[in-house]
Amino acid sequence: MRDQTKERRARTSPISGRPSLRGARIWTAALLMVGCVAMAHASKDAQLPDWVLQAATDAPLKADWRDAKAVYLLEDTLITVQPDGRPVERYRAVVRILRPQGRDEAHPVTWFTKDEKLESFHVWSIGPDGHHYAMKDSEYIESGDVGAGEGILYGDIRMKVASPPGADPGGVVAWEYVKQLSPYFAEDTWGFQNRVPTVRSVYEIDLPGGWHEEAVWARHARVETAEITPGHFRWEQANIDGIDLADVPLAPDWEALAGRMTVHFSADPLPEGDALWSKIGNWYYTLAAPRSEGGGDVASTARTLAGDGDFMAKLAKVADFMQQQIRYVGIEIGIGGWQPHPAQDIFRSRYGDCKDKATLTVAMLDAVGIRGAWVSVDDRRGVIDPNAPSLFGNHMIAAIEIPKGYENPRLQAVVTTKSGRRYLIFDPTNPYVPVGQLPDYEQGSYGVLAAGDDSQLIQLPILNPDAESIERKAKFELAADGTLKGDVTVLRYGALSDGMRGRLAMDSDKEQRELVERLLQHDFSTFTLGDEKVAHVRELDKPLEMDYSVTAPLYAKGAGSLLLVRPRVVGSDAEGLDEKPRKVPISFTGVGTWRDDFDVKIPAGYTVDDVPDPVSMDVGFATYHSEVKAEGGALHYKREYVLKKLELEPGEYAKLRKLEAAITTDENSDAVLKKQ
Amino acid sequence: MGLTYRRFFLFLTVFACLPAFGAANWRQPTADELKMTSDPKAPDAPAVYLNRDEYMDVKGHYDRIYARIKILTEKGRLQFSDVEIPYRAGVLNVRALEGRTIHSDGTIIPFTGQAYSKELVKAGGVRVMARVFSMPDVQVGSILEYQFELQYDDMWIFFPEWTLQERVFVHEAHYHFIPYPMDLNSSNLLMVPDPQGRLTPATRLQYDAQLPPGARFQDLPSGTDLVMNDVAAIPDEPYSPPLSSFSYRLFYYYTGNFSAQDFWKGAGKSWSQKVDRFATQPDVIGRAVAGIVAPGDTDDQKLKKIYEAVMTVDNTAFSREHSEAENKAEGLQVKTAADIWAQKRGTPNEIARLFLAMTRAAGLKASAMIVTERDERVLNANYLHWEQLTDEIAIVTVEGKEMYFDPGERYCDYGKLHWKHTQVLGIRQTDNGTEAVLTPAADYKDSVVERKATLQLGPDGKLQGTITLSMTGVEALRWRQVALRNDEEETKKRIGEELQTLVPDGARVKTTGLTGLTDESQPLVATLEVSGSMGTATGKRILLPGSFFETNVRPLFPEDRRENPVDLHYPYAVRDQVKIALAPGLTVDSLPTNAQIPFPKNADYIAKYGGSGSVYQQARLMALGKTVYSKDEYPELRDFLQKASAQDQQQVVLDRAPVSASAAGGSGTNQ
Repeated sequence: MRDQTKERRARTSPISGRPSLRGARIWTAALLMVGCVAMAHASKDAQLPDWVLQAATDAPLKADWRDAKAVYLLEDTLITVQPDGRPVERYRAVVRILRPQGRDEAHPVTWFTKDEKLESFHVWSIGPDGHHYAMKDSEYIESGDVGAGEGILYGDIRMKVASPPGADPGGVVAWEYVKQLSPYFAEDTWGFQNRVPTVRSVYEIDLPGGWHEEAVWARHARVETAEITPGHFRWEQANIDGIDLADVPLAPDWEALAGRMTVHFSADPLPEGDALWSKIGNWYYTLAAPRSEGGGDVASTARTLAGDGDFMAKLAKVADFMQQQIRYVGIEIGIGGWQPHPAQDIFRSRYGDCKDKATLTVAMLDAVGIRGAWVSVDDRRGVIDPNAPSLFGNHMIAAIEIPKGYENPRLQAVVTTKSGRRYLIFDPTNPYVPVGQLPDYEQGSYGVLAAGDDSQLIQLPILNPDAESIERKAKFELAADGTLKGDVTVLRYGALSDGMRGRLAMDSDKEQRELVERLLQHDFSTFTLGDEKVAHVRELDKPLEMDYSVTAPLYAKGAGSLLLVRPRVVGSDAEGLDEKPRKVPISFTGVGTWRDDFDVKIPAGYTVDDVPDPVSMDVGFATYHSEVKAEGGALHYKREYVLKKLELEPGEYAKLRKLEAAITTDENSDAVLKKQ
Repeated sequence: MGLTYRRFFLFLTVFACLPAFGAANWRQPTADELKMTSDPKAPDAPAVYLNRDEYMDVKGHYDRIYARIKILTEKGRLQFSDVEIPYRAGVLNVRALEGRTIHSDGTIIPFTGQAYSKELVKAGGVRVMARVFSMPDVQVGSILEYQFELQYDDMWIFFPEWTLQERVFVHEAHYHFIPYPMDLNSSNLLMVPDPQGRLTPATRLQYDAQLPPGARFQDLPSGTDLVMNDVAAIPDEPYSPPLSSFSYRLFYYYTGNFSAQDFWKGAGKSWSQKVDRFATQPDVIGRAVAGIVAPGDTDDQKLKKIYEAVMTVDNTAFSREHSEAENKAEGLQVKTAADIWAQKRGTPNEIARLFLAMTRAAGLKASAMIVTERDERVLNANYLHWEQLTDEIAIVTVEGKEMYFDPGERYCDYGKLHWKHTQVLGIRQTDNGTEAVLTPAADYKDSVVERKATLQLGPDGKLQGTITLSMTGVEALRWRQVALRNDEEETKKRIGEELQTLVPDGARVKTTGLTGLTDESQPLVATLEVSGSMGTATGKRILLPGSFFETNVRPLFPEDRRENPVDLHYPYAVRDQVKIALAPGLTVDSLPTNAQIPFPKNADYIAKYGGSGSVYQQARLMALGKTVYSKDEYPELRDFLQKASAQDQQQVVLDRAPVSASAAGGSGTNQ
């Protein structure tokens, strides 16, 4: 999967997603600058373009931006669509560095591919002392294999970067590039919002005579289109605040918040709204469908695998094959960033990326009489905006049509389209979420169903919190010297087991043990892990089970004649929040239910003198109930936390904070034992 | 071969990460290899090399690599199924690439896919590419087998730098090297730099070898040959010494006719001359020094003033490196220490040499020393490569005693070294040339953190107060250098964020002041405001964390087993003083027992608790004297840290007078 930086964000990314590796996908422009000494051709006489000088001498910045580390003084994009429909982009940027850490924002960069030819790239800068610099072509660094992410064996994206002289606080860095854009997309996106503020952003598109444009807006009110000359359209915005999510807990993805405009262009009249979504879905369908025509091997293997069971039984067999046998490997060249490889090739080599896996899924299901289709999604919830039809997205999954009248409790991730057809949404790239369910990072998102005449925008379901749960059960015995000893069982159900299954599947026995030790480190200062066992890592129809025994000396703390014991012995459900005013929505990883049930047998000669108060909270989007009881010479701790919503408005942050404070307090509370 | 244009190219081989080979024919897997599901010799391995061979023929201008890998787990499948062969375009070609996957039932799937050439980086006329391919139908249990040749033209000479340990266990490895013939009578001489950097004919093939037990290394008529069995994987544990200096390796290189002693002596002399040339221009530097020191100053006073002045020079390691062209545009040049002083900007080594020049101009005896960074590398005197040494420091004699300085580390304490330059072997200037010496060790008293909290706890559990955080040594240097790369506001924010992770849940800290940020002669002092809440309530009591600054800290080493030594980098002491005034109605019921945890000669931990009536006080000391621990010492170290951590989790019991339910809170006082 290829991911974003400012410039890439404004383009349509290839689809090669591997959501389980989300954290690993970072464009490394900044890293590439390390060790790259600016080799600038520097001259006091360097001629800077007027637009650079003009932007650099514009009016003072907004007072609100005094803490900004850098600011875009200007972003200016001009798209010229050639008569053959091929767009050419000219992009200009001027950045002023305000603080030392603002240097990171002033790295000129552009990307190009086999089909996106870079025609020119120029970089200029003005040092804080006023020196003007112009860099030479030979001073830029070109790099491939960037941002490709783990699993992408080959991608044809390359980038050019520069480390300009004078890039210090007070300095200005400017760059311009011209490049041909992909010939196969009839849309372009203007990402006018940055992580730092932007003084002025301009976007223009120049179309051949008689062509049509349709501008749609995401996360921003529509700005009126100005037709400067016939077929030449212009939009401009000023004083755009930056969005910095660096220290914001539970923040949505940056891309889900930043304003953008997508402009569609065509020689033919353009549809609007749902019809435009449908057009997009159809475009992808015509691209992918021919690749799903599997040959004899694909069909015969599918039929052998599926056997004679009912819909669910056949589907489960094919899904298991896709999840376990087809390795994730991405090879993306040109349109191959979007178009899958032929199903036969994927099957033969037993590898492919997300769109390849979706395609082979469709092909194999087709061989056993089940109709499948593609769903283009983005694993960052909220990035695809239903109000802004576009090709935006970074991942491909499958939609499997459910026969009319067929019911099965395993079918949970079900969507009904406008035509009345029911589809099970399935992600064959994720090897750890069983068919019937959906990874949490896809739940609640929008996606484009590419299913021929049924192509449309759909919203992916949010599963019932009961379907995704973690249960911890334990029995402990406490000694008078404070040593706690006991056995713990942790069961993870549904999509909530995804991450842990993924880690454990990769771990050796030793690494699994070390993982448990690291988990227990949060609960005990000193401990010895006894036997530990993990079961059903790859048996997705069973809960992931982790059993272990632990001995924790000094667990209970002595205080005179008292022993202080924390009844919530292992595991934490608390979330760290801040007390800053909340400006952005709250985004949870997933819904779910967490239950703990612990018994702690108290040592002979001690009685329970005091226990924490019970907690019972219902804040609408979540409930939390916890209680400690002293019965039969033991402490019994039970709690249940149910999170029902994936996203909250910023206004609900206070409520969430109160809930989290209660959970934190409950988790840290002690019971008091007294010596008789 | 026609090496009429004599050229020597040092290729820092990147193939250590590669599986590699030697024979042209595939090897038939044994039944045991096919059915293997785990390897008793490497019980936790995700995969193992059954064979890893490399055959480098410099005369033939190729390097042949062969690998046979058994995939044992899903992780192994992920790690080894895709193969990437980096090479420099225009110098190397990848050819004769073949591969196959063999399933555990013996089914053979030949590699018939495409290998792609992708550009990794292109800069300054150099283009680094990679040939990539993915093995077909790889399953857990498969054996992957592939081979290829790296071929290079007559203009280039390569020699191997083989790191013999891999990410996973190797059953059998075979390395063979056919070197370039060093015939002094030939017209095709191989030229190499002598210790002074002058080109001289290569006369000897040298190697630096650290071989595993049982390795069979021999000189054969056909070249040198190394066969190894059962080579352990490179261990990967946190707080390990630099493993690149300790792993098994075989590094070849050509040299002229000189011994190791001659090399280090000669290279040292050459380096020393360069340093002295840079540190010249006595007139300019002398005038600068005259403006800094006063005539009546003692040597120590002079040195302090000079050090202080040098510390104001912009150190580009913490800001931005400037190119020669950029300097030229500004009318600047960098040839001597005087230039660095004039432009008030330099690299760490240039600033170190400036300090050297100024101290000499002040009439003090000063020597340069060049060292490695302890976290990266340890100097290997048997490996005749000067480039191992990277960082320059200074040694100045004051009142008959030598003091070590680290002017290249901006804001490093006067007379101290950055921890990564302590206890490292390097080369220093002496009266008679140069010699190898060890830099001094740091002392825990050099790096002291004092944390003082003065707090008030309200009847509702609300907390307010202040923290004073005073730092010297390593911690102060760390934050000062953070500020150089960012700014004061960002540094304050980060200090607050870091402390926030230590204090009890519910408590909030915010940095309100920071002093001493640009003055390394003073402690760096942060003041922080405390708010929020603390403690949990039961029906009759409130329980407070006994250690305000450590309650959320967990011991470093949860793992009970360890394969490598531990390097904790630097010694330090942390002293805490906490005073909490309790609201009316709250009284101290019981306190944790005072504790001292002995770890003789290595570390010390003391915790004391006090309180009477409405005040609770805690004092804590953690001092670490020894930083490097052997594997055998690990259990004792771990035990000490765990006991200290357990002590830090002790609680204070407060009695509370009956209050209304709303004041106590339904879920405790931590609201």
